[in-house]
This record gives sequence, structure tokens and C-alpha cells, in this order.
Amino acid sequence: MQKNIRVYIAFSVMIFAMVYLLVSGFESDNLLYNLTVKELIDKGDDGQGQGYRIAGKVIPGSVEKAADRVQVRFSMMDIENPDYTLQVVYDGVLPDTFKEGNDVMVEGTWDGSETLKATNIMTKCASKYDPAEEGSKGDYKYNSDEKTTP
Amino acid sequence: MLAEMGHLILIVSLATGIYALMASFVGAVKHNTVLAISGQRAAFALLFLLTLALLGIEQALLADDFHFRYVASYSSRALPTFFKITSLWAGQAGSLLFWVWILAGYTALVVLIYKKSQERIIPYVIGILMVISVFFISLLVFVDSPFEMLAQAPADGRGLNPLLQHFAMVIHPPVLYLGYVGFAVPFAFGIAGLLSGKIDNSWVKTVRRWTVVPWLFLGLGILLGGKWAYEELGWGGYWAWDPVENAAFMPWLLGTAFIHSIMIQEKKDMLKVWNMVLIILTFTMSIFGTFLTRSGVISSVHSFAQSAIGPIFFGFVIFVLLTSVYILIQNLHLLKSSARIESVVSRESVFLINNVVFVGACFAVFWGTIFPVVSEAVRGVKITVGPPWFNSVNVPLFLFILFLTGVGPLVAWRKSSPQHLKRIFLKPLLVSLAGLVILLIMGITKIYALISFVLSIFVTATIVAEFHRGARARMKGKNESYFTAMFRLFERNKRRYGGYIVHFAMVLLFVGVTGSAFDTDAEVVLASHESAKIGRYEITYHGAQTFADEHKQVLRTHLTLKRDGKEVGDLFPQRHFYLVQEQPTTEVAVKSFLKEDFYVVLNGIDSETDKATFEVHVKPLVIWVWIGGYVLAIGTILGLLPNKQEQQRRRNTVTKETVSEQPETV
Repeated sequence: MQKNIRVYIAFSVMIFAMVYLLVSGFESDNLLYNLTVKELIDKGDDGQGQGYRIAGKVIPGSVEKAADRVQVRFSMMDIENPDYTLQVVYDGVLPDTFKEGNDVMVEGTWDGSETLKATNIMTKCASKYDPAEEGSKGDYKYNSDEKTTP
Repeated sequence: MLAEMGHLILIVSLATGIYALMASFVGAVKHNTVLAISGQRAAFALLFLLTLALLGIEQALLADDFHFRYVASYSSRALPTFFKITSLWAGQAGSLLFWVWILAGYTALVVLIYKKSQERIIPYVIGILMVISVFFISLLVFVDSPFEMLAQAPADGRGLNPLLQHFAMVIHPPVLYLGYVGFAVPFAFGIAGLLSGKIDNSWVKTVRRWTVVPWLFLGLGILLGGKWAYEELGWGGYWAWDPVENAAFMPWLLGTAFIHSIMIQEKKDMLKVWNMVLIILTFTMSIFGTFLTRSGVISSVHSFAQSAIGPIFFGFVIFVLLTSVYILIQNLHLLKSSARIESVVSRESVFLINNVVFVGACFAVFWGTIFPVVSEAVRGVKITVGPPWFNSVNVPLFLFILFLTGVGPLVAWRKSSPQHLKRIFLKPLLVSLAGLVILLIMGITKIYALISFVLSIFVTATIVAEFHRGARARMKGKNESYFTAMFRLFERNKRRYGGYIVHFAMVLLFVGVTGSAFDTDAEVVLASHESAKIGRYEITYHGAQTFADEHKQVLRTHLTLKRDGKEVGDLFPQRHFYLVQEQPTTEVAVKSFLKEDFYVVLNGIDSETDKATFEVHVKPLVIWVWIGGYVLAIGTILGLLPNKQEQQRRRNTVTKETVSEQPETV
């Protein structure tokens, strides 16, 4: 009987350890708040220093690649309220599915200034493949299901 | 011809599936052999019909018949024939058809193999597999048909997403599906045992191979996905805790737990309920994984918007889970275990700990994956947990699992004495200690990496010791040479030693993944004939060329790579621009060494200065992840080969049975 108690104790300790791991992972550093551009701007100063994943649309013509380093700047606007815009700077290679005028999700921390420093850029609908919707080739809808961003 | 009849074939398939379902269940419950056999035949018919449907889509794809929405969406005239064939699984409807076709294949195989030996249980198994088939065929018939016609055929199709035109991505979905779908078989056997009311430990023996095979496929599918991400996406990694990746990883974790814990049931008549729970969860996770991939509920901002499939799928996941759990609870009395765990330091106990950690890791991944949805429902804010969260929770768990990999197979059943432990572990521990000293001298101070490497050494040492000990024993007992003894040892117990090789494969994977703790990145801007130094490497840029073929425009740069001053090869990082899809793709250039990968991405060439910018990643030990994958496949296949003794035993029992049965039939 005594041996069985030891077995129970060992398993309880383990399960507690795992629960602890799970809970302790939720530090603010590890969390990204999913917001739209408007929601972020509305937050104002309250939102500083937090991690975000911001959804918006790349403003056509705003993408500037630096000539002398791997860096890109662009502006994104809120999908529903185009008046709200946000500048993004990203030190990295853009994903292949990134296109001007398309929806993107940008991850990064925000210091309250006009510019969001991105650590990761994803094209929205990460697992959908939506080619340009000019409609020149018929108006049927596409939805491939393979993911195209990490 | 076939393609035009495609939708009709699907409707007939649905009817066939429903018939097989009812005939099998009624046959099973009423002990009506005629009906049960009719159900078996319907299962074969279903495979035939679904094969026709599959050929129908292939025919349309190969014929560039853009009347079909599916063909117009995922193929194009210029697409190479090979990719036209594989476009079958480029989209949702085709993937679902392919999924259920594999399921029909597994079902037919199960019937072929077991219709005699498991006569009593097989009608239930077919019935359960048919429930799943009918669900998927209904989706194809009523929600998303691959045979949907367009009013007007466009002149050309949209073509396959260029990012998917990569060998790993071409075989990744089928391999993954063979895994996902395969878990339906052990699940069906488990539930069938409960429904039949007579269940013993034989079902876990029957399903071992049926679990290990899909488990291997799923594992390889995950690795292929990683390989694709690494070579095609150009961000320098192979794993990002993306929901779609997690979707495949979760059933793999649970399947791993199941493969281990059924050994305990087989040998010790324990954990019967637990095993049933595990296989129910594993299969539910397989369906849930398919749901995550299909619905885009997590990654897409417009949840469920794309098709009605999401909610229907979710309903099916809940249905599978609740029904299975209900059946389990109703039949709990069938699953009384005869033994219990006696000591913490026993193989039973270590296996159970292994199970708890695997299930815990799966739960952690699950929680992180669904967290955005949960937080939105509970707090009204959608919060994503990124890779740092997944790593902080999972890394300690996986290191613990690695530790158990070394300990588990060696501790004795019931209870290990201190003497036994000392004899088994003293040498591996000394080797690990020596390894630790060497690693510290090498300057490795990152704590997790250090633990991971030391544990890798420890596990490898225990495996080597185990092979050595077995071979030595045979040498003495049978007077064989060391190598003959080693070979015979393996031949005699392929399952056990195959298992050790799989464990070694996991060590290689751990080593490869741990290497990522030491990644270094650099960006370089080079004019023609300029060089740049990155660590011990030096690259020289020799200019770029542009050319085009019928599919794409290519911008190709040429670099030479020197390592420690010695030339080691040319690299051609490129950017392609696919005309039909109007999409660029980054073609990375990778030079792999056993010690590290040198990985170059072309960011672009400035049109004014003509300077090229590159992103460079030096990624230690990556190649060991892929090597680990090969070893995993080899070890698993060796472990699945039948043992000579086992065959002998089976032959004997068969003769015995026929002998003992004869008097009764006379």
C-alpha cells in the first residue's frame, strides 16, 4: 500500500509541474493581442510595450525597400476604416505572398509612435491561396488550403 | 467520360457506404453472417467506386477540362503533367476525396486480412469505418464537390500555387493523410471490441502494426512539411508552431503515447481503459487536425467564412468524441485490469510517466493552438500565443521525454533494484558526464541546449550498451562472433531493437532541433565581385542574370562560398516570378554540412546601385533533423518486420487450431 502512495505522489508532482509550466508560459512577453489597425490606434498610450498581431491592408505604393540593407517599410490601413493607418518597418525578407493592396498580419511590439517594428509578417488567410481578384478569368472563387506562410 | 459522371459516382458511393454501414452493424448485432459478408463486399465496392471518382478528377486535370471548377482553380495548361496529377490534393474538395479514398483502401485491406481470423469483430470494424466514410462522402456530395461545373469554362486555369510546386510539398499531403486516416483503423478496432461486448487484450496486439504504420507516415509527413517550409518559404526555419503544423503534431504525440502504453497492456494486462481513451483521443485529434487545416478557424481572420465545412466538421469531431466516450462508459466493466503499479522505478511506471508527459505536451499544444478562440470567447480579446510560448512550455517537457527514452526501456518490470539500476546506468552516466565536460570546454553554456546534448549522449549510450550487452550474451551462450551475435540478436527481436533505432532517430532529431539555439543571421549587401565574411565563411558575389521560361521570370544570382578559406561550392539564390499567378517566390540556396547549413536568401537587387542584398543564416546541425527522419523510417520498418519465432508460433497455433477444431466439425 505504501508503495502505491509513492506512485500517486510521483504522478501528482508531475502533473502539478506540467500545469505550472502551462500557466507560467503566459507571461505578457509571450502574448500577442490580435487587433485591427483602428483598434491599435484607439488604444493610444495604453497599448505601449505590448506584443501585437495587427491585421490590415497594405497601402498600394507605400512599400519601400532599403537599397543597402534587408529592410522594408510600408504603411497599412484598417480594412474597414481606411483613414486609420500605421507605418511598419521590418528587418527581413518579405514573404512571397506579400502584395500591395492585400491583407496582411504584422506581428511586433509597439512603442506608441507612428511606426510598428515588425518581427514577423504574415499574409492574412495564412492557409488560403487567393490570387489577385481582378475577375478577368471568371468570377469563381478560389480557396486552396495549403499554408503559404510560416 | 468518368469525370462527367463524377458526381453521380459520388452519390452511388454514398449509397454504398450507407448500405455497408447498416449491413455490417445489423449483421454484427443479429449475428447474421449473410448480411455481414454483404457489408464486406460493399466495402470493396466502395473502394472501387471512389477509385473511379479519383480517376475522374485525374482525367479532367490531365485533359485541362476547365469546365470543372476544381480543375480551373488548381491547374493550368502550362503546368507540368506531374503537378497536374498531384493537383488532386491542392484544394479542399480533392483533398477530401483523397482522404476518404485512403480510408476506403485501409478498410478493404483490413477486411482482406482479418475477415477469417477476426470474423466476430470485423463487421463492427467495417461499420465504424463506414460511419467515417459516409461523413466524408456526404461532404463531397452535398457541400464541396470536386466535380462542380462552371457555367462557362475559362480559357486557362489559375494554376497550382508556385509555392506548392516542390517535391516535399507534392508528397507531403499524401504521406500526412496516410497517417491521419490510418489512425481510424486502431480506433475502429477498439470501439468494435467494446461494441461486441467481448474484449480481451488481443485487440492491442492486432492494432500495433496498424498504429505504428500511420504513426510513421504522420511523422514523416510532418518532417516533409518542415523540409518544404525550410527550402521553399525562405525564412530559415522548418517549424513555427503554426496551427496547421500543430494539427498534425497533436495526433502524432497521442499516437506515440498509445504505441507505448499498449505494450503495457500486452505484457501486464494493465491500462485497459487508458488505452481506449488514448486511441479515442488520437483519432479525434486526427479529425480535429483535418478540421483545423480545412476550416482555417485559427489562422484566418474570417473564421468559417470560406465554406460551410468548418462548423460541419466541428460537429463531427464532437460527435466522434461523445459517441466514443459514451460507448466506453457503457462498457467499462469489460476493461478490468488485473495488475497495478508496484513501484515508481519500474517499467510500467516509467511508461505511464511517458504517457502522461506525451498527453500533457499534446494538451499544451492544443491549448496554445485554440487559445485565440478561447480568449476571444472568454475575454473578448483575441490573443495569439507565439512560438516563445510553445517553446517555454514544451521544451522542458520534451527534454523530460528524452530522458525517459533513455531510462524507460532499461528499468525492470515491476520494480528495479538499486543494484540493477547501477549495473545498467553507471556506464551511460559516466559517458554523459564526460560529454558534459567536453561540451562545457567547447563553450556551450545555454542551459537547455546543454541539457539536450547531454541527454542525447546519455540515451545514445544506453542504446549502444543495450545492443552490446545483448550481443555479448549471445557470444558467450552460442559461441558466435560479435557481429553474427549482433545480427542474430536483431533478427530474433526486431521489434525491440527496431524500437531502439527509432529512439536513436529521436536523439538525432533532438540534436538537430537543439542546433537552432545557435543560429546566427547576417545581412550582406554586395556589388559585383565583392566579398563578405560571415563567421568562418566567405561569400563572393559574381553578378546576376535574368531569364524567362513559359511559366516564370527568373532572377538568378551567383555566389561562391569559401569555408575557412577553402572553396566549397557555388550558390545560386534566386527569385522567381510566376506569370499566371502573378506571384514571386524566393528560391533559397543552401549548402549543407554535417556541422551546419549555410542558407542564403536573395532579398533583391537595387535597380539604381545594382547591389544585391542577401540574408544569410548559419544554422548548426539542421541536417540531423532530416537524417533523423531517415533513421526513423528505417528503425520503424525494421521493427515492423515479423520475427521468425513469431511466424513459427503463428504457424504452430494455426495447425493446433485446425487439429483441435476437426473433432468438432466431424
